Amino acid sequence: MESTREKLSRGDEQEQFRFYDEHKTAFLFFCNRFNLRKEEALDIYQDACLVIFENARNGKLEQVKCNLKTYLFGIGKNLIYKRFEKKVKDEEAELRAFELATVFDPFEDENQQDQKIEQIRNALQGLGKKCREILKRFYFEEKSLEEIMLEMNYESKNVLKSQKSRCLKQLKELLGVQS
Amino acid sequence: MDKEEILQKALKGNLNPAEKAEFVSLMDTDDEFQAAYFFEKEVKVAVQLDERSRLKAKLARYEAKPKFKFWHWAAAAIVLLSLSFGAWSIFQATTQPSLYAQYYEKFPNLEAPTTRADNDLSAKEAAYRAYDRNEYEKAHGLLSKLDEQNANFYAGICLIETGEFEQAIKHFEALSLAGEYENHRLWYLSLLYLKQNNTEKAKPILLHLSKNQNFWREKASLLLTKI
Repeated sequence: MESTREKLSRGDEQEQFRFYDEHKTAFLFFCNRFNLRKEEALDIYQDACLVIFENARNGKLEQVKCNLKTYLFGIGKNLIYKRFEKKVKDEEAELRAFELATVFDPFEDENQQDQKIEQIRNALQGLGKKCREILKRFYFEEKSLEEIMLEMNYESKNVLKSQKSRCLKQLKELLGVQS
Repeated sequence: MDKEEILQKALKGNLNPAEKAEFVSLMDTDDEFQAAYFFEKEVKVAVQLDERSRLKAKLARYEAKPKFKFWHWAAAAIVLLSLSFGAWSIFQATTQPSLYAQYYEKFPNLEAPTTRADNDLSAKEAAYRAYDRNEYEKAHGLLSKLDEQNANFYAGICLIETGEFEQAIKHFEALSLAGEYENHRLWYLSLLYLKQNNTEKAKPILLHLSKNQNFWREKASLLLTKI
């Protein structure tokens, strides 16, 4: 039977929602001890789920040996520290160093992002659907050329490579128009 | 390792120490490389932020939506289906390596058919002569020295013929070829995956080959019906 991890690695939407529902109540309960408002707790819960979904998609979840619930709560706690710098004693230090290394704050860059990133984000919207799909698989899902070539049915890795270069070139041109 | 590969590995943050040294020196000496790296790094952050906002919005919409009992039934159905699929695939899994044996054939030398005497062969002719005579270790050495893309393909076949399957997989995964040889590479790679019982990796390749015009198309379609 296909496991949660496998489904999440395919980006299965229903599984993402199911996972989201499964741990929500426990997580919100867990947040009580940090005195967070419900909206804050929910926001952090969603972000913690995003970290899991993204790491599942780009393969980093394979390094995580503990069960997903432990990992999810570990991420949640890290995000709470990161955002509220609360000093709380580390009771469940089940996460080993390499597991922590896969934890990121999904919107950290957004808070401190410079104008350039903002411009690129705007320019991305001006690209064709195909280019956006390639860049998404490349940079977000961190797939290899081979995987993308097969998924998107390109003739060869070289063809895909040149298509990607063209996309980046087009993006540069769009940025030129903007600035 | 070429620059592009170094750049991509750096973006993913998985350079080994030797590659890291090369990366640092490229960043110091090659302005074009440096500019390309910084640009792609920014694009990567932008794409990630974009996707994350999209996913977050999806979760927020889901959170706001009333839940239906329907999903419980749907989930149960999915569990049942995947259970039976799981059982079925375990049952199937044992037959893959024999499919490899059934479909594997040495790739013929299309590069340098030679009829001349042994003593006046060029390096290329000598390499393919060894290949034709099934002297695979020798052929592998000579082919690797040729510095030609297609020769690299034949070097991979030599690895298969000498039974170094793991090596062969790595070799074919890393190669990127032009024209028909790209399809040949994919065909042999898919067979190697089957040999290792890795249907998951073999299947998308065979699908790709069966959908496009190429030499392996029919074999790939046929093979797909058996896995």
